[in-house]
Amino acid sequence: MKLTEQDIDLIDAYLAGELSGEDLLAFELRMAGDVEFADEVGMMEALRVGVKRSVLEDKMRLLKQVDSRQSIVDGGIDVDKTSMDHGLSTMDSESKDSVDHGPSTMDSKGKVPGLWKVLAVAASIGVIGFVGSWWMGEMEEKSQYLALEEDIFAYPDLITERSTGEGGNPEAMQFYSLGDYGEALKYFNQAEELDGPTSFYKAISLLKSGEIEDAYLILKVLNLDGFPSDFYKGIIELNSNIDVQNMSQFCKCDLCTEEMLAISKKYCSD
Amino acid sequence: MDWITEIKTDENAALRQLYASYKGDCIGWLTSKGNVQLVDAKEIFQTAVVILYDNVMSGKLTELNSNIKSYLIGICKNKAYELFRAQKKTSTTDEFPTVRSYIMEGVEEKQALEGRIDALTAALNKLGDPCRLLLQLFYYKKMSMDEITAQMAYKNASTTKNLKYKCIKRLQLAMVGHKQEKG
Repeated sequence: MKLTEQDIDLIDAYLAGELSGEDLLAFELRMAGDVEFADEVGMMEALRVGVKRSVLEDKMRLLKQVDSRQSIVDGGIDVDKTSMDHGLSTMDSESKDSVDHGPSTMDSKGKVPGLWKVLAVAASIGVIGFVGSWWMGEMEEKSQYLALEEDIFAYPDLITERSTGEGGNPEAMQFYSLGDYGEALKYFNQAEELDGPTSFYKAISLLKSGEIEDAYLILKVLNLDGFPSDFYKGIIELNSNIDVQNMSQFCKCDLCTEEMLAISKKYCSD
Repeated sequence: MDWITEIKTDENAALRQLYASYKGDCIGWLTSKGNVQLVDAKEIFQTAVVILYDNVMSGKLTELNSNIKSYLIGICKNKAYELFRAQKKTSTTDEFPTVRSYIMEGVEEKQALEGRIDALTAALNKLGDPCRLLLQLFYYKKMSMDEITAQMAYKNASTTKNLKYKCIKRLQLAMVGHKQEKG
């Protein structure tokens, strides 16, 4: 627990194999004589492995997401195929009906005239086209929604400066600055009154905790200079499939970081 | 296509493309010749792609002697399948047991570190971003403080270094809490 910043640097260098000669000897002697320090080294060694595992697990999540998206598309193709089959069987049965019951559209040999065949095929193509374009539209919306979800959660909290001393709630901001949004919210919620910046950070904590509606309610009434509220409002609105209320500010994205700009650019025309 | 460069340049896009391109071949082999259930075959193939990614990022794989498809099917056939069978024998509540098995393969003194690694991974996930991302960039991607500062848009390298220190202290605290809960 007494680990200092210098200790961490030293342990990092040791675990990376960067210590040699006297430095290495001194380090190993310290480990041998200080059980607590040796334990810290063990913790730092486990941290490196834990970090690697977290990266690889993130990639597994990414691939699972790709897989489920593909399944949606594959499912869509099946639906489309079913529609096509329906279209064709409808045409077949209609043709058959015509053959069986059509009074005057048959020629004397019981065959459907060429014009009716053409019309039936054209009607089927129309149905297929309609179903196809509807499905494509649905898919487009779906993929945009999924992309938006990624946009919101792909980056930390997209705030350029994290200040532990900002606002009237230092404990909440301490947790916020470390990305522990759940813990930060506990303190934000305890406060009787929050100033503008702190409200903004509370909204972002809510957003990162998945409480999107509550985050939106705060951002909607927040009129605050110096914070990219419009960006987050816009992202939530897009994510909820409602019109962006302040599209010009969302696209202007004055206070956005490069990552945020990259996101807004995708939804704003030049 | 030079997949190694693609992975190094834009890893998520490359992994998505890799997955979509070779899913059918690898999963097809596993389900037809490997007699593996579809859901398990997917898990194995996902692990194989992740192992490929790790090999590229760690510098173990710098060039491909065969094509990427053969390389991936090779992992699917051997390593990932074995890992999956191994994890089947042990009951675990891990979200990604195949990744855990792969990670633990490379760890010396497994028994001493295993519990600690599990606890640390859980604490790291609980801690969330920016700590999680910062530590990933530093310890996994081996980025310098200046590079991390630029990527995460912090003020300067000393702010980033200080945040890294705070993050490790918070992880330490979480670990103490974990020990107390267990003890």
